[in-house]
Amino acid sequence: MTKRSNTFLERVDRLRDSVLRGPGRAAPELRQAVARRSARHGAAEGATSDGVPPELEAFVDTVARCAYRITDAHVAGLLAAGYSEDEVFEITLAAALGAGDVRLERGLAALGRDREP
Amino acid sequence: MRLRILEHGHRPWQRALLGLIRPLVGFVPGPALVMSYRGALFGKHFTACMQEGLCRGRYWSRGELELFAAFVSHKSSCTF
Repeated sequence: MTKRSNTFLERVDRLRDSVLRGPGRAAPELRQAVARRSARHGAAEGATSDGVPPELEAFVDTVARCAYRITDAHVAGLLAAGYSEDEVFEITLAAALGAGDVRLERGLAALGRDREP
Repeated sequence: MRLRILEHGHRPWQRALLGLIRPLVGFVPGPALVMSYRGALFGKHFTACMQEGLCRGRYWSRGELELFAAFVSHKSSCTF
């Protein structure tokens, strides 16, 4: 693995740490569970409970599989369920990150590389 | 549906900057709002990834990398 690749993956790790473990309105455990569920969709493993509350499942699944189908109703539903706008923002980022992570891993695998230095 | 925080939750200096974009473009693109809102959470780190991955590519030209990105965006039905 080239030094440049390590730098990119290090930056990805910092992004992941910030979105999933950094200070936020949504609990880190929730953000991590959302990312795990989203990643499992991308890996075609099938979603499991993953600790994601039922009211978030459809939203996370849609972000993971076809984000362009997110509608006003999805977002309104989360707000109606009691999530704050900042929590919705963080949950969306976590779901997108989980989906992006599995795509990154597949791309690296296609190049014969993995995440480890 | 945009979250209200993405329209009104930025810091004053960010709102001023975004206010310059709106009359020029007619609107502020969604990615700009997302990247700049609570930048320490997401935008700062994502920008760093993009800079390393797209701007400092070693094996592909900048144009080739942007073509790959455009193709993936098209497949994802994303206009950005």
